[in-house]
Amino acid sequence: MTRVGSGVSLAELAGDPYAAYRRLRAEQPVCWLPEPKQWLVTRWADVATVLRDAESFTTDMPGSPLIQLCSGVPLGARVGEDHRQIREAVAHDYAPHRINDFVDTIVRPRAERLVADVFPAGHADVLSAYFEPAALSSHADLLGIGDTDAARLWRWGMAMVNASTDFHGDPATATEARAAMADLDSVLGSLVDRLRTAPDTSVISHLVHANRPADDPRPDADVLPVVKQFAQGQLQAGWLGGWTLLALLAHPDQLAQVLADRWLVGAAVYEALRWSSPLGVVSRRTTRPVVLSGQEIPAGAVLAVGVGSANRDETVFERPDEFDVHRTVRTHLGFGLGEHHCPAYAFVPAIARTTVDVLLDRIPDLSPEPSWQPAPHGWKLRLPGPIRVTWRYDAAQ
Amino acid sequence: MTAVGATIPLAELDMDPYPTYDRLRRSQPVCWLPELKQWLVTGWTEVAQVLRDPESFTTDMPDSPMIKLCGGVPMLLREGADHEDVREAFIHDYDPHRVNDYVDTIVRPHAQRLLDALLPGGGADLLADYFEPVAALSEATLLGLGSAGADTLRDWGNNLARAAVNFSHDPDVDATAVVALADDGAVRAMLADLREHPDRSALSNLMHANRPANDGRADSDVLAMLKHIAMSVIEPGWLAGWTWLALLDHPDQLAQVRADRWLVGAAVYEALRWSGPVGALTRRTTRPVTLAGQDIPADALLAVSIASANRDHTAFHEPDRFDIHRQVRRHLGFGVGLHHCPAFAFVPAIARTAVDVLFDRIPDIQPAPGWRPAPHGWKLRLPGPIRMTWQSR
Repeated sequence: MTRVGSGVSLAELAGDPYAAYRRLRAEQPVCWLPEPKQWLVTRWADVATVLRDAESFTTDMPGSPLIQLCSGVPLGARVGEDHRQIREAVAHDYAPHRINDFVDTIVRPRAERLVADVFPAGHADVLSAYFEPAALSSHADLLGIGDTDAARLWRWGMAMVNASTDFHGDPATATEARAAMADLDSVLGSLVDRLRTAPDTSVISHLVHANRPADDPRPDADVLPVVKQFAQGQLQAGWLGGWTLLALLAHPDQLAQVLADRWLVGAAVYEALRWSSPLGVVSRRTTRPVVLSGQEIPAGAVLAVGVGSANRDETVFERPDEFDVHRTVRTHLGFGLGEHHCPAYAFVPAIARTTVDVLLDRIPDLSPEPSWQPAPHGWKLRLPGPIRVTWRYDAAQ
Repeated sequence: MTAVGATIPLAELDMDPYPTYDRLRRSQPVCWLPELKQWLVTGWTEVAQVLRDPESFTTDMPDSPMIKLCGGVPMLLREGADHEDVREAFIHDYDPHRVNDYVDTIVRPHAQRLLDALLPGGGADLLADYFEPVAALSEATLLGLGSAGADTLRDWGNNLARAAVNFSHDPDVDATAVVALADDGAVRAMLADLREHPDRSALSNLMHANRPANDGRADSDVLAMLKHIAMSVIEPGWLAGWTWLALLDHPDQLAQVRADRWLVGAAVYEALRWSGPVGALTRRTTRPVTLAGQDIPADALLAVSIASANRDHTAFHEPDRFDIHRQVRRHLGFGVGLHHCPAFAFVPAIARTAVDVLFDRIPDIQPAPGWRPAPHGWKLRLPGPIRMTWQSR
């Protein structure tokens, strides 16, 4: 196995992966990462090849820590007919024709209430006080657990995020992950039991019953791990809203345009997803020896497939490092590609778009707190970090 | 060549195609229509098979009357790299992540303004006075043609629709369509302007996207595609009309949707299954094929009935029932495969918004005395006039 080139350290990736990605795309587009023992794939063409060829690059990874975390196989790690059936059971709840029902009756009312809550303080970290809870609670409504406290939803998601990006085996992270998953189990266990005899229109109910005979619902092993993965995924819609605002705060001219012309909000969200995808890397395992950009990779190897890097590939996008809401938008890889592409690809931008739109409506004068510095971090999952903004609030109003 | 289908007069299909489709799916899912000289494909399996296999079943139909009427080859009738080029230039303006921008800034404001104007009258034909205009104005805005363009698009679209179903070859219908489609001076002027000054409109992207700055796609190409798109522009209005008709016919479901707007989009999508405006798509065989046991020669035309497939009992439980609570599986209302409707997210959003705003603004709306629904057609299935009244305000 050749390991030419300078490689890259995880610390470098965690700080700002994009400079490292740029170098790797030019010099070493398929690069061995010794710490997680994975091959990092950074070019658009290779990333697209891997995601499209499910036979050579499978999501079936029996040793994945995600399976241990979820106490079973989540949707993203299933393959073939098993994957198709479970995906089919829930995909329709996220179909594009439901977007506006979801936005009008769930997301916008949730966002309005949250803005009303934070407004009197005159300042907030809008990531943790607004974008994350709006996304978590909106999706929880769909799942059928909408009455769960947002802080509890956040704990479930972050425990999984921290565990799945812990490359050093930190015991405290693992302990918290187990505790959070046990807490999630305590909610899901009784809910799923109830849904077995009394189905409703929620995603979890569809997961239990859709396309199954009434007397033969899916077993827990096909339900609980899938919901646990969603508990992590639903945070990302909040991060995307945060990334959009972060990008706009860094580009005041574009913020002014979006404020004046809401036609641009969805474009800004989609561009933020390209420019700084919350999901930076997805994992695949080789089922046979393969060659990618000249690099031989043995069978059974784990690949870190860099959709975040592909979305900055200079052979596909002009000025790829620039955030530009007016970009003649082509399809990018922010939602993946192929049979495992994000089933909520229409709902995630709708959540982000609506939360940004409501925030700009209600607090058009928001500006960065003077002492605040953006602190985005991570590469496998890339988080925007706290977004501290301030605005004028006159109690006499 | 067996011709049992000879017993199916087109008039029967025209009035209500669904009983005929049901019979055909069970007895003869691929059947010859002598009046039309086309094979009618009605089974879910066969319809999906045809739409997914563009190598055997092409949309490249050099003799299509649409080419002459539009003055060039519409996007839908292109294949291969040429089709991919224009589709790629066009579709991103219809991506799902843009839907809410359009609903908030285009569709809802148009719907509100139209109702502002209609409310004092105390009654209207919702299809002609509201649903079709909401759709045409929204699409015209997105395309960059403005309100005047909406009238042109509606006129082109309705004429193309009449020509497309002119099975008796009435010369007046074709002649009227030729005249209407030739009236394109204003749009040509716009295209000339867009060539010099590209903007963010879908029409500009259709001309310029993925091309060097001075080498946009030719006017004749862009104009032909736009004229054909004109027919699709009013279809979201028909879909809204069908949703309304279905709900009027099911008062219990109407009450539920009115009280819980979470259900409006579900009702629209179910209406698209239950009575989609686009009933049949056309394909041409590139080689001899066998479909459901029926031998079909090369170069034969197929009427591929997605409307029938969407009522196939092997795919849907109680398929003839309109049910907003249906455990919806994907249906074929937007087609499938390379040519599936690029506006699959925008079309239901237009219909959904039009219905939603109507509930908001006219809670006391009801059918006009004496009005009876008069839906018609099978290749294109139109809801017909929808006469409603309300307290003038």
